[in-house]
Amino acid sequence: MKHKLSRKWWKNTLTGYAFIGLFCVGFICFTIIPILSSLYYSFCDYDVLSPAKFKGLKNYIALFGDEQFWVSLKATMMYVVFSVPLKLIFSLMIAMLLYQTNRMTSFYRAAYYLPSIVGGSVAIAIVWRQMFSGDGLLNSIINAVFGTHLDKSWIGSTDTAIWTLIILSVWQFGSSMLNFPVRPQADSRIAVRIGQHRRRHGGPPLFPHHAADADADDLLQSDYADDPGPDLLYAEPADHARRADEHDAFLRRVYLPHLLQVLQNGLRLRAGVGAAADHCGVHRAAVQITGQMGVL
Amino acid sequence: MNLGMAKQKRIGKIVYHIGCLILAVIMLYPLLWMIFSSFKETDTVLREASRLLPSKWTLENYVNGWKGFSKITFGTFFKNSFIVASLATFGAVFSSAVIAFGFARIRFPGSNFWFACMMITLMLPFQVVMVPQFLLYTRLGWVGTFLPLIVPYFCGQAFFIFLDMQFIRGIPKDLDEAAQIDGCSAFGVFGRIILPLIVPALVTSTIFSFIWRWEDFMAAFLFLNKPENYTISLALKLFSDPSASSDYGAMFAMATLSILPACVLFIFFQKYLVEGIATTGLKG
Repeated sequence: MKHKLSRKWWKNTLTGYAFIGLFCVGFICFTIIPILSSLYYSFCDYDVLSPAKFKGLKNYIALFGDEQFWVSLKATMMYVVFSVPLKLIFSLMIAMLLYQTNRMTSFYRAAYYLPSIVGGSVAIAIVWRQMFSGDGLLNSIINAVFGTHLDKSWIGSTDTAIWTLIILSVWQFGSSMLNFPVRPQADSRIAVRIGQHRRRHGGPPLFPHHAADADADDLLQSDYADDPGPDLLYAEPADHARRADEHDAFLRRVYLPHLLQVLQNGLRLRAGVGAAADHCGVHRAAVQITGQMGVL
Repeated sequence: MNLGMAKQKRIGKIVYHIGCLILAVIMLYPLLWMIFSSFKETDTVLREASRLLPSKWTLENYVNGWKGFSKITFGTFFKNSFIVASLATFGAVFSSAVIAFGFARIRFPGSNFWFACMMITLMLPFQVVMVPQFLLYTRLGWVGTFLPLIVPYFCGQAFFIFLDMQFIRGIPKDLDEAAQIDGCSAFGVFGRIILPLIVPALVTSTIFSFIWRWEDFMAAFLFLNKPENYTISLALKLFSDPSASSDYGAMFAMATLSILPACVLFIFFQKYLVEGIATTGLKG
């Protein structure tokens, strides 16, 4: 009996590791080893080419004594403190704007989401640099509208550069709202269904506020009303609970990872400074903050 | 009374659409500006920066830009990007699904520990590991090849593992058990039951992964060193180097081409993406 149990235990363990083995290998090779070696080298005199020589905390002392480090830390803090909440507020606003679906909703969603799809690319970094440069788009528009002769380089001056990056981050808000706009569709289908159910069978609305909000014309004209899953349109009342569950499950499944992604975006910058501190006193923080644009 | 309300509603609707349209124009303006600038004559790009449409349309920028530099055309860069992005995407999507199944369905000693590790990598920015990874790849002799841009993705990507796991958890365990009673092994359950049911999650992962790998700049910048191996992001960066000639027209032309794949994917799969995620609930 005991023998059998332990065999089962072994089988289970082996199967488990057969599935996640790739991850374990990758985690050890590409994450743990690099991080630990980074930690070790941070206590060394090391220029990659010659062998590392241990020299204790000297790198850290040099780093903390470096004015550039504190300046970049401050800039990073500022970027995170402004860009993350602004991005979230903006995406929530858009989500509320698109809460009621109609013929134009998919166009709006595409327009608002597109920047975040292409936003990480070097192409956008180039555009951004041009837009905010001395003879760029922003100044041209201001000059054309107000008749001024502005030639301030927004991206080149220390007081405004960080704001061009914050705007860039807010402009790419789409990744944090990808799934906000799905909700109203799912809801509107429920609302249409409830409306029809009510017309057919009478009785009180099941989701009172949705039923009241649902502008039947709008909803029927929406692209989803053209092609409703048959089981969605003619679902029986007992299904509503299941739908609500599914909706919850959807939020859990898709929304949570996205929230994590947003969080990660915020953390990325903070940890960027950590990486700079890690690496043998090389002051890379400035590069981290400006990311691709700094490199360009 | 009723009529007045209908009218009010109508005005509200018009205001709503105008607001939405203005916002859409603001959101798209930088992109449109880039696209239209690529059709302007290259010496007028900056002079006409405040105008959206070119005063004289030209395709010259695309011809000049495509030539690339040091006899390597943008065709090579596109090919490189395509190879890297598709292989890395295949690796990331497939391995993430396998790993997600292991985490979501099999209880084994150490699973919680490794799950915690996975969550850590989800939060871990690339910048933290990029320098030591560079040292590692140098030692392995991988620097200058596509390997550093592809191989790590065959070990799963935390974001996709997490996404797949959330999907798998939504599938009733009864299905697994039924299959097991019919004689399926764990691998059979994965291949025959789970994999077909998480296709929407896989499609989502594929699209995201491809776009991310396509635009990836940092890794390509660190690990590639020969111009004939450059991906499109790196080539674009060279184009915009202050030291290089500043052919703004050609730069915008190639920038426009470089975002084309991502835009096409987005436009074609937008609906499927959203629909796919929204209707994954098991029927019946």
